[in-house]
This record gives sequence, C-alpha cells and structure tokens, in this order.
Amino acid sequence: MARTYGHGSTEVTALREVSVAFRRGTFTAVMGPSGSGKSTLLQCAAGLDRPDSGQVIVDGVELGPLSEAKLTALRRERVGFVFQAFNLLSALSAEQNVGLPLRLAGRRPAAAQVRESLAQVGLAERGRHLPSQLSGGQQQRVAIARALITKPRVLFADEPTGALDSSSGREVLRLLRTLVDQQGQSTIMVTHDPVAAAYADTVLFLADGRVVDELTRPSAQAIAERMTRLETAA
Amino acid sequence: MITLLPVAAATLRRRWTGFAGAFVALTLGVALISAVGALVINVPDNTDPQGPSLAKILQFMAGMGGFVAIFVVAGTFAFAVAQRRHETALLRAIGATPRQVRLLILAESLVIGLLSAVAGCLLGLIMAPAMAAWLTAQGLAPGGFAPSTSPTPLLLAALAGVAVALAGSFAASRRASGVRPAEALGDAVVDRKVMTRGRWLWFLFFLVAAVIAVYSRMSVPDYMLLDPGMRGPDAMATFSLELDLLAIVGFTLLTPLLIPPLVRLFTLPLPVLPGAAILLARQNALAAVRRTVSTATPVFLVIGLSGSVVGGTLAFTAARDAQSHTTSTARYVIEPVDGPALSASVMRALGDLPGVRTTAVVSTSINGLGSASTPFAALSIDGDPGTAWHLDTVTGSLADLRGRTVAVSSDLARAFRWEVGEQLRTRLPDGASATLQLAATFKPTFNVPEVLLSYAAVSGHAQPARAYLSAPPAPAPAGTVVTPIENWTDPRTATSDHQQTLTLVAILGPALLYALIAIVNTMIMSTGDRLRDFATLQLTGGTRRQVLRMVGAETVVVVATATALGLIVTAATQTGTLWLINNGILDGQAPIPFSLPWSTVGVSVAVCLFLALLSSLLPARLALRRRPLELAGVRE
Repeated sequence: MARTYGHGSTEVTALREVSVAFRRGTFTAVMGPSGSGKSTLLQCAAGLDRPDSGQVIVDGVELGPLSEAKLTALRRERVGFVFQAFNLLSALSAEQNVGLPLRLAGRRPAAAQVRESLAQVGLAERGRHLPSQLSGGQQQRVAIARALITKPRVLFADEPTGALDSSSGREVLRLLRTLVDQQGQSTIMVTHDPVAAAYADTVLFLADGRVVDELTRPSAQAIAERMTRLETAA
Repeated sequence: MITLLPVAAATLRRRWTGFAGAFVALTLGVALISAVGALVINVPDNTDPQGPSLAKILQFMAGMGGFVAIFVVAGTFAFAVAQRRHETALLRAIGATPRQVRLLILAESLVIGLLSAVAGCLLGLIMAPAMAAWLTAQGLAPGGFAPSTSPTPLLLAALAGVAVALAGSFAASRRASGVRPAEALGDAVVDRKVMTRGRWLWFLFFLVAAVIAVYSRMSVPDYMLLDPGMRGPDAMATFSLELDLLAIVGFTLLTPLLIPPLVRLFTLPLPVLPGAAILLARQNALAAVRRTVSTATPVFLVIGLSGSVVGGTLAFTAARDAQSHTTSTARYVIEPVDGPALSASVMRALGDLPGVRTTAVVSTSINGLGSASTPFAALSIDGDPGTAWHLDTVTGSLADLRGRTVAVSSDLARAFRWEVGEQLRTRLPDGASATLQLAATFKPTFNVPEVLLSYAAVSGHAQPARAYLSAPPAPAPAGTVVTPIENWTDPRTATSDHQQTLTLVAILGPALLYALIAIVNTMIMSTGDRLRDFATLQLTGGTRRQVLRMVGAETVVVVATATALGLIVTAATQTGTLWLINNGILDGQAPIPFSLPWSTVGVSVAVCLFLALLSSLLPARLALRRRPLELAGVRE
C-alpha cells in the first residue's frame, strides 16, 4: 500500500509500496528513523487512516470498502490501541476508562469483566482512581486494560513507553510480552527505542517509506547498530 | 446511547468550570423568559397609547434573552469541543462512531439544559414579582400589577431552555464528530479552518435578511402600516435598531476572518520591544485563532451593541430636537403656572392681543377612529396649526381643520385607506361618540401625534393646556408663564425620552449581561487550556511574573482587537442610522453630523478589559502556585 499527504509542493510520501503481513500470536516491533513512515503504517494497518492505494486486511476483513461507521465498529471489536500519551479520558475513573469500549458498543460493562481486565495489568485496586491520581506507568497499564477488554485480535501500540521513565517502561513492555506469551495476543508496536524493540519476536525496519530490513529475536545491541546505520544513511 | 450517559455525566462533573458559563447564561435566560411570561399574561390591554406597548418591550426582552443565550451556549460548547480534540480523537480511535461523539456532546448539553431549566424556573419565580414592582415604579405598569401564577410560562421557559441548550451545542457537536481518530496519535494544536462553511452560510443568511429588511422598509405595503409600531418616525427608530442587531450578528460571524489580520496589525511594533512576554502573546494569539476568536467575540458584542444602540438612541434624540427646531413656527409658548389648563379669561385676553396669532392645544386621546378600533393619542388644536408648526400636508389642507374635523398622519390614512372628506366615527375621552370629517393628511413627525382634532370637535370636553404664540404677549396674563420656543421642552418629547431609556435598558440589559458572562467564561476556559504552556515557559527559565505578563499582554491584545472591530461596526451602524434620519425624517434639512458615542464605548472597553484581565490573570495566578513539573503533566 502507499500513502501520500498534502498536495503539490507540500506533498509528502509517507509510505511507498509497502507490503507486510503480521502473523497471529506474535509480537512485532516497527522501527525506523523519524519520517520513515512507521506511524503512518500503524495508522493504516489499524484503520485509523486509509491508504491512497493498496489494501489493508485485518483478521480477514478488507478495510478499504468499509464505511466510517463499519470501520469504527471493526476497530472497537477487533483492534486495541495504546498510545504514547493522552491515553485516558481525564474525567473518567480507571474503571470507567476500561469499560468505555463496551459502552461505545452499546453494552453496560460488567463490573467483574472490568475488574478482571484491570487485574490482568496488576491494577485491580486502582479502579476508582482518576488518571491524575495514577503514575504514568499505571496510566499506560490502564490503557492496556482498556484495549484488552474487547479481546481484540490485534493490539497496536504507538511508542507506548515514549512518555515513561525506564523502569515503568520496562514494566509495560514486560506486560505486553506476557500477554503475547500467555494469551497469544497479536501485538504490533511502533518504537524508536532498541531496548523496547528487543522485547518483540520480529523487528521490522522502515526507511523513507519502505521496509528495508527484518530481524528475528534480535538483541537490543543488534537493533541499535542496525538503526545507527539507517540513520547515517538517511 | 443510554450506556454513554454516565460518560457525559462524569465529563460534566469533572469539567464543570468549563460549562459554568453555559449554565449561568441558560439559567438566566429561562428565568427571564418565565418571569416575562408570567408578567405578559397579566399585562393590562389599555396602557398609554403614546408609549411603546409594555407587552412588546417584555416580549422583546425575553426574545433577546433566549437569542443571546444561544450564542453564549454555542460559544462555550465550541470552546469545550476544541479543547477536547485529543479526547475526542481517542474516543473515535477506541471505537466511538461519529454519531456517538455527536450524541455525547448533545447529551452533555441536555444535562446542562435540564439543570438550568430547574434553576431558571426557581429564579423566575423570584424575579417576576420584582420586575412587576420595578415596572410599576417606573410608571410603565398600573398599580397593583402582579405576575400570573399560572404554570404555563414556567413550562414554556423550561422547554425553551432545553431547546436553546441543544440548538447552541448543535454546531459544536457536528464539529466534534468530524475529528479524525488518527489525531489521537499526534498532538497538533495549530487550529484548522475556523471560518467554517456554516459561518459563511449564516452570514449570507443575515445579509439577505438585512437587504430584505431595508427593501421592505423602503416600500412598506399598506397592510403593514396597520401595526402602530410601523408608522411614523418612531418606527424608524425601531427599524434602525433591528438593522443594527442584524449588522452586529452578521459581523460576529465574520470575526474568524477579521481577527488575525487585526491582531497582526496591533502587535506589529511589539516584537521590536525587548522581553519575551509580548512576543509570546502575539504568537499565541495568532496560533490559536479559535481561542482568540472565542475570547474576542463577547468583548466585541459588548462594545458593538452598546455603541450601536446608545449611538442610535442619541442620534434619534438629536433628530427629535432638530426636527422640533426646524418645524417650529411659534416664537413663544404660554402655559398655566399651576393647574392643567389655561382659563377662559386668559384665552380671551390672548385673543384680544393685537398682531399676535395664537394656537391653543390640549393633549387628549380618542377611542377608535373610522375602521380603526385602537385608542389614539391626539392633540386638539384651536387656531391655525401653521402658527405652531410647519407640517408637510400630503392631501387636503390643514386650514380646513375647523368645526367637526380631524387630520391624521399620511401613514395612518394609508393604512386604513382613508380619503380626505371621508366621515370617521370616534369616541371622545368622555365617552361621547362623534363623527368627524377628514380634513387633511400630513407627513408624520416627532412633534405631533398621529391624530390632530379640531378644537370644536371636542369643545366642552377639555380646556387648552398651552398656547403657541407668534409674538410675546406683553405683559403675560396673570397666572401664566411665557417661554421662548427655543427654551421650551415639549412634554411629549420628555415622555418619549424616558420611554426610550427604559426600552434601551430592557434591550441592552440582558444582552450585555450575557456578553459579560461569556467574557469571564471564555477567559477562564482559555487559561485552563494553557497550563502546560505556562509550565513549559517556567521550565525554560520564565519567572511567574513573566508568565503573568504574557497572559496579561495577550488579554490586552484580544480586547484591543475586539475594540477595533466594535468601533468598525459602530461606525457602520451609526452611518446607516444617520442616513436613515437625515434622508427619511429630516428630509435633508439641518442634517445631523456623524459622531460616535465615545463615552459609552470608553466605559464598555474599560469594563471588558477589567473583567477579561481579572478572569485570565486570577486563574493563571492560582495555577502557577503549583510546581511547573506538576503542571507539565496536566492533561489537556
């Protein structure tokens, strides 16, 4: 698929003829220098944005022909999101945030289901807290609990540790890894941090809108070296 | 949708400060509508036919209240939606459809509408008796006037409050539903297009409405003259007020287009000055166009409204003076020292004066005339009307106003299709009925009422209250006072001015109150929006004082911009009003020169600046008490 932004002289090509498949039950990290198109790839793959050409298939459903409402429903049911920051609605408590996707689907979230989801991320006791009463790492875990409550086929994470200190960051990454290992949760994560990427099964390298490399089970050091080469080339 | 109601409620609970303005405005609107409703039901029919109808003033007040409340609610919600762009994008990303986002905003406004309806009705119950007492004290309502206790006005007002809340948040809810889910990933705060297509459409709508209003005023169909509010120069005053309001609202819609260049212009010399605060203020005002528009609009409304309405009123007062000056032909006015009327012996003495022409008059009222069944204020005239005023006769001759005759303004004659020579039945003040022949029609002026009666038609019913003289009676007859015409004030003008002032208060009062609420509300909201900016500024080495100076400078820039817009619109409405007066009323004689009501504008600007500074600096000062790192973590 390909994606271009703007027109004429301001035209920016974010993705050129990228073709990737992510396997079920695996943890993939997408890396690349800034401007390499990694965020665009995530947005298109997750149905947040539409590519100009090509097709996106999530869990066997092609996103292209879907209406905005259908696409939204698909995101709600089969896709989970974790973002870098601004992840929770500040007016809602942790429990309310976690239950939100169900409410949006028109269902009243069962208390047990919400609690289970929070327990999964180790925050069973913090349900009544407002986001402002939680640490950054805890907020991110609440966001993960919210993403998981619909039992999504795939979880997308965009720089999930970008706004966290290294120890809370590690906690979040370990949580993601555990979810993949124990529940087979397919996860795709965009990051620029080699240490974060080392938690993944596969690391995909993007540069200038193209996939340029792929490493399996690499060490953080190997990833860092590959990244340095990409950045000096660009 | 039901499952989302708790979400809407939680949002309102945590963010109530942002919606406080909408709540206050709506509550006041509902209170005003319910109180006016309770009063209007009990308004007696037969109020002073000379003055504007009490029911009309009250209805105008309520209408104005509801109308301006829509603007405040719309402004508040537009702001709240713009502030929550990220959250909205997040909602969309995790599975809210555009429709759900729209419904969520509408649900919030519904909750606010219901709360305001209850609070407003309670307030209205207190307000109604207070208003009745005030109206009685001002002589606008008879003694013993009390509001109705019927529940209908309360119900209607509550409904109106909810409807206004929904209408006000409709545009904002549509904008929120247009937020793209991908925006949750980035955090672009550079405003996108603020001059929306909706604004253009509404602007066109108001433009067309203004053109239609001017056109219909230039060629008023006869049937429209049946409404007393459409006849004579006072109708012109109402009409120019309506045009002013159209112009101001139309202008408000264009503010996103006009504000950025004005901000740029006003701050052009500032970056040269040392200090970061002013540079930041300029860049902030330009980068966040929507915020600048939201904060500048209520200030503009206060200045534009007070400037245009007070300016227009002053112009019409000047026109009245100018017209009584140019149309007066008498040199002196003689009145009794005390008592309502000149005695018969004085009248005889005046008649005997050699070389002095005398025209005696008495104000009266008649009930019904020909096919018209309403009461009319009338003046009965003994002598040649030409001795008192120069009136432009349209048909017939005022010299024929003798015996059992009547003369009416040409507008009144046109409304009922009366021709000179026609016999018109009427009922005199004492209840006697009489048949009068129409002697003449004249162009309406401020100086005389619509109906002039020959003195003979009412002789025996009333004694003259004053007489106009062509020369001084030397010496003045006992028990009378003689005033040169240039020093004399027509009691008719005095009542008219008093009523004009009351109408002004009734019209401007609610509108200004709302606009002031909106200033405070938007300022507080916009400061809350910027806590992270403040933190960044502090973390990069800015002192608290510098942050406050930046906030202050930005507020001053916004108020200055709004003042410039307000002056532009006031100049425009004033030009239009004077054109109407000079061509439509004074016929190019002694035209009134252009002037702006500087003192009113000055006071408005001072009040706005004070409120705006207070409501931006105070919350900023409070926020700065917290440590910058804490602020930096504040979610938008």
